[in-house]
Amino acid sequence: MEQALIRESTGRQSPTLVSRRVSRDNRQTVGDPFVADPRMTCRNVNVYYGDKRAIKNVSLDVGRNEVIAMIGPSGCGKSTFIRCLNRMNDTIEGCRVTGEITLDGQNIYDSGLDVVALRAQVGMVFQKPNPFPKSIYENIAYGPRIHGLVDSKAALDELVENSLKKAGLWDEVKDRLHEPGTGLSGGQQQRLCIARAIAVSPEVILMDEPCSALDPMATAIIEDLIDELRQHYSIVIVTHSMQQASRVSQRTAFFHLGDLIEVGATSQVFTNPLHELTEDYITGRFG
Amino acid sequence: MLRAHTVKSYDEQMEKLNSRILEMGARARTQLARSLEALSRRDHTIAQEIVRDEPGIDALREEVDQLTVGILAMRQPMAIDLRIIVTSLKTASELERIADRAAGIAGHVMQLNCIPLREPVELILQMAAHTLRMLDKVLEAYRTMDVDDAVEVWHMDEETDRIYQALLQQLQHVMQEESGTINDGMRLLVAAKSYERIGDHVQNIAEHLYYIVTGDTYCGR
Repeated sequence: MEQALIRESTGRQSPTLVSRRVSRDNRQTVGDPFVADPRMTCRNVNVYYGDKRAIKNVSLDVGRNEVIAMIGPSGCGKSTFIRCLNRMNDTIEGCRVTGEITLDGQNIYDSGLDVVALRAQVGMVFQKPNPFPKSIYENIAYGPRIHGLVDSKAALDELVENSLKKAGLWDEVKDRLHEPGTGLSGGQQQRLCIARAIAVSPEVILMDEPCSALDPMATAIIEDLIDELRQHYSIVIVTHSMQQASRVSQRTAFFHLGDLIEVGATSQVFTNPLHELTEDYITGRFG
Repeated sequence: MLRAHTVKSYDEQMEKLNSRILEMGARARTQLARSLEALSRRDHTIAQEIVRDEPGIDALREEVDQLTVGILAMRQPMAIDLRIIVTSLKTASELERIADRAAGIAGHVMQLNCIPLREPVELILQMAAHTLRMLDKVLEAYRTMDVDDAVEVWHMDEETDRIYQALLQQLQHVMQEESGTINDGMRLLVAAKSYERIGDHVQNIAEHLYYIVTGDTYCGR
């Protein structure tokens, strides 16, 4: 990596700020996008919407028991990228994905792969809480039931309780499990959606701006929950909040115009980024 | 080169912080230069001016503290902004201490009867002039964010330490030879120690500057 660093000569005649950052013109990924024991691997991933190339040759690993944050300006491709990880882009007409993405060594774009099962293994939580128009209990029970994960009512009850406990919601809803999920507050609804994702035993949870519709207190509860969930799952979170990325993640990936510009330990990216574009973005100097 | 922040008031806050640091630097520099003059001329009036002006630098330090806390709370700075803000606190502290040391030296100048200690005084004036050159250079480097000059200043402190060691030996020798010089000798010793510490403070500022620009710590190589 040292070799990738660019050090501009200042010269005594024009003593300007020395930059050890990689120049804005360089579109190669800096930092290390790979981990030793990945849960998911992405290699040379490209995403096209018709003729438009939205993701450009991105390679990145998702580690086990880590939170990796995807940051970047609107339209940079971060949401498009995470939607590749459970083939959510399949539902978009004209969208084409090339390259290879694996989960536990299995190419998730293999033609014979069961996409429904994949989306249980790689769950997703969206920007706006989207509970089913059903009871709290049914919101959780629906997934395990259709995936055949339980064989008795007692087992289902236990799974619902455990999922709600893991999502930090059990104590708040245990006495009203049969009331509509849509009657909960925004933060509670989002935790219900997280519980719903957890109920089908995922390995990875994708979160696309999960707190953008929540107040600071509900956000703090979700962030605390993300930290706990990391013990069991890999989490990929897209966020526009730099502070949130720095609070919840261990690694951060910065996207710009479809390129993965920089990946690194979150503490490094936010204090001493390697690329000028990353520095511009996280310090609010984006042109 | 750094681009401007999208939010203009953020740039204004950062510029204000920078201007206060540079103003502290200029005032600390004046105090240090005065201490050299007071010492070389045994001028009590200048020494009194140093003591008189010290609270103004303390007030600037407080202003820097408030500005940095305000920016931290309002902007949640990242990367180079964060490094500038954190090191501004430290740099302000170094500059305040340089001014404190200059005031301490002034106090001793007012007490000196001097002196048959011509050679040690020569050395201490050399030290003072050298630390003044270091401070000038580091302030200019800070203004222009010139990391090469920061490194150069860092190594200039080796000369301060060398003169200090030579001075210690001389003072020890003179005070052993002539017990009547002990009072003034002790005062010169304390003043010399102050210049040696000023050199360290300037060296620290050079380190802070290096950290701002590179994000790394400079340890002499």
